Amino acid sequence: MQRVVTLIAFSISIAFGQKIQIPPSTRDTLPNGLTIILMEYRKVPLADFRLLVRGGSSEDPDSLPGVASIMASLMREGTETRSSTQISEAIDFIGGSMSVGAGLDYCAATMEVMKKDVDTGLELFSDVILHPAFPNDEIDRERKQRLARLDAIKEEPSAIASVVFSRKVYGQHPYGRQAMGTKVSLESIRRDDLLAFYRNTFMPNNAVLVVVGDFNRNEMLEKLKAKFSAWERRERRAAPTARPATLKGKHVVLVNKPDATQTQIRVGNIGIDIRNPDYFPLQVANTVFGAGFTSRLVEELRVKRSLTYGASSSFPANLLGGSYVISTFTKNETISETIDVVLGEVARFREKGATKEEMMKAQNYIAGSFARSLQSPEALASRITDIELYGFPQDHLEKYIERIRRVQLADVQRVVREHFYLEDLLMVFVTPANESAAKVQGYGETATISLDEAVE
Amino acid sequence: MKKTSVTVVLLACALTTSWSQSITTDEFTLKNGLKVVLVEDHTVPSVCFAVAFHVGSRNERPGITGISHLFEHMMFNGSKHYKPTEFDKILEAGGGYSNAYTSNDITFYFEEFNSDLLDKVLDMEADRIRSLKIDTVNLEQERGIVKEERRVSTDNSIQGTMFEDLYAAAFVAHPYQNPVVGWMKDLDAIRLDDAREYFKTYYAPNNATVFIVGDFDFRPLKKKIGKLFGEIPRHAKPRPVVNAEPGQNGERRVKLHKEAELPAVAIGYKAAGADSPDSYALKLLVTILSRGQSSRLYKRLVYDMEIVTEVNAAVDEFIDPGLFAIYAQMKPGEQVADAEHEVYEIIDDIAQHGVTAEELQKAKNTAQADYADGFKTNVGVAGRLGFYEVIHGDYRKSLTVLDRYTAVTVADIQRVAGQYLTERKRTVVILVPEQPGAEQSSSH
Repeated sequence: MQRVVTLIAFSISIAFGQKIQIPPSTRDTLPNGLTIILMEYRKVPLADFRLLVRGGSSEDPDSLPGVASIMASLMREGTETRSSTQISEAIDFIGGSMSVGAGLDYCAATMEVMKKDVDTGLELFSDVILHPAFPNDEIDRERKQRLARLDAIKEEPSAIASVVFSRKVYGQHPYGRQAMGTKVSLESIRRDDLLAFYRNTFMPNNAVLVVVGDFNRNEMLEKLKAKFSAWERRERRAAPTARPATLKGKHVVLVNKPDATQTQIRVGNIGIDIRNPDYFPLQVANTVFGAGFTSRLVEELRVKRSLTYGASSSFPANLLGGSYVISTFTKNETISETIDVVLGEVARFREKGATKEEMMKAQNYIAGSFARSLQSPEALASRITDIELYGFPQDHLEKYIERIRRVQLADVQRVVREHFYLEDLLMVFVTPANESAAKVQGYGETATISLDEAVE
Repeated sequence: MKKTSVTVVLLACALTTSWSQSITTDEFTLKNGLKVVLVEDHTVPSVCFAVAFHVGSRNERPGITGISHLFEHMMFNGSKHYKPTEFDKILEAGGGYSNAYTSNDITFYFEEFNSDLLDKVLDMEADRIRSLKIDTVNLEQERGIVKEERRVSTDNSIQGTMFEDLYAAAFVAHPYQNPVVGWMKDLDAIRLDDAREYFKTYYAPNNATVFIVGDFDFRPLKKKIGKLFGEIPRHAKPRPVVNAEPGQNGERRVKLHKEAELPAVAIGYKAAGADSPDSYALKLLVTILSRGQSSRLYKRLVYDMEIVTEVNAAVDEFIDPGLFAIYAQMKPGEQVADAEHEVYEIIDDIAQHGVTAEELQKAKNTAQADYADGFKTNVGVAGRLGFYEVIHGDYRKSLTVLDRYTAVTVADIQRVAGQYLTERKRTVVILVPEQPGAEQSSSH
């Protein structure tokens, strides 16, 4: 067995004289290629398991959005030796939680159990990962459940706005597909599609397994080896590499929700991929503009004008690209005022950038949030799998705050001009279209769609 | 809530339970009645400061509903020595954040920040409790924001509207009939003197408890707190709330016509007060009914019959008896009546035949895991202690709650199902979906 052990307890300096102790971890690779990272962390008597494989919804077949997501959901709905009901009974009995889900770039199985129930939990967790059966009756149940869920989404203005924004901003790129499935795809997805996806992603040489919590490292490694050593290495098809293209021009989409008294608003474009060198300066810039509670957006929309209860901006980043999205909502009467403030703030930010004081506040804010996010075992597990998935340097956690602090004002000004688009924008409004059409006139080429068109 | 989310919607609350794990608390009370509870934990160089006030929408009267929550917003807008927005700016510049929530019974403020900012936070907190700036600018600003909050959490949320209707119909005398966020017209009607009066009555040191959890040293901290908070004057104890709610002797049914895709139903039974022994049996019953895919409601309605998209149960943990509520959203083409029929059959079955020993054990195991979960973060610990202090009358009860769950028997579960979940104590809200744009739907 090939064993690379890196046992480093490192500490992070979050402010002058303050250190966070990150518990030491070990990293092993089994002969079949499975990477195992273990971190003993005894704050609470729990253990958190997270197995991640590369390949998510963006690898759905072109005509079948939803395959990755359904495949992931189905993994815990029956294995070769356990029915869905038996699995649920067993995990519920120990008060644990277990789920499998698909992101755009990956699928992840997670489980949290009490320390005393680790053996029971691990038996279920490994069974679900290694031997899912994808029974046809469970597939049909999931299909019907999702079709109903598509209807339910049409009742939720915020969810509608997000679905439409994602689809329109990514356009033809796989990130723009409706990852939970569409009315058409849900009718056509078959068991073979799920099996094919499973076989191309769930293999030891494409996976990393992280366990954080209250256990003995050597004992845990032996337990994991007993479960996962026989997992067979396979060949994985090449993953897609095309990047999403930036949207040109101004595009307005009105989703007609006739009874809404408040309009959900999303404004943005394509952002950056997660390994982009601008990642750190852009985090700082975005915090100044639209994260936390003293951002410019909150100050201008909420504090000064009482136009909204919430306003934020973000740059969700994935392997091949990401988005840039400003989110808020306001009563129908004040849509124009709200949009004018948002665009005015983007213009001002592009022109003048941030002040030194704003930048330092943002850096401290990010540093503090990062430090606190390392308190819970599942958050640690998630941070560690991200390092493997995105190929971050192994000192990513250790150096995160330092990299945030190293950002200079000139970096901030530069990334603002590069990534906070103003002339090329997608604007989505979930609103009574008749009443609101006049209010958004002049913002760009406008299309009005129904709820049925909004949620495909 | 101040920032991200809405006032407490019943089904959105996780089941919060406790278990007796060893954390060490230190406690002292200042001469003005302010009680302070400290928990040292050096896992991360961060501190959570929280203050719980014994006030919520339960203390409100008609005409100014929503004032507790509106007032919570106003607490962030400046005090004698700090300008508006300075509170948050100092916190964020110190690597922290602040937030707060208001519910029926409690108003809870908290902030987390790097340990070296603790002195500053103490000063800012003492300043706003002593001398909040209550003026027209502050009130009008937050009035507009809270109305947007009401629009997002209730008026444009189907479940939000259903639950507002449910409480309004279930309670005829108790203030629990009013939404925490307040009725829209009351939000327009609240005046500056109402806010001043409210501050004077409820934001007194003798009506509050402070919790500090995290990376600090006990000795110097105790001294500083005495110095900063000790001078804030005590006020007369607020008048106790009368629970005038009469017994319910018949089912109440309400229809809600609203643009929607799918029918849905919300069912509420009058439950027990949080500190009643029955409340623990009811919480375990919630788990047996709806927690996890093996729970009775999920198994029957979602998995076996496939008639609902989701079904949830929850029981209020309120000072006075709240509701034991069940919510189900139908799949396309399915009838609410069928879901109701199944729910009542499952409840009747438990009332008549009880649950298995295994089901009860499962619920207790879940409570144990939830308990451990609450100790992951400083803010989790502070939140739990504060909640128990106000709702259960003593934060220490959160550390012995394990015993109360352990004491629940299979017979107790059967008894509470029969005693509380009866037709006569039931209120039902049925959502009748209307097509977008339609004036009214057919009725029968």
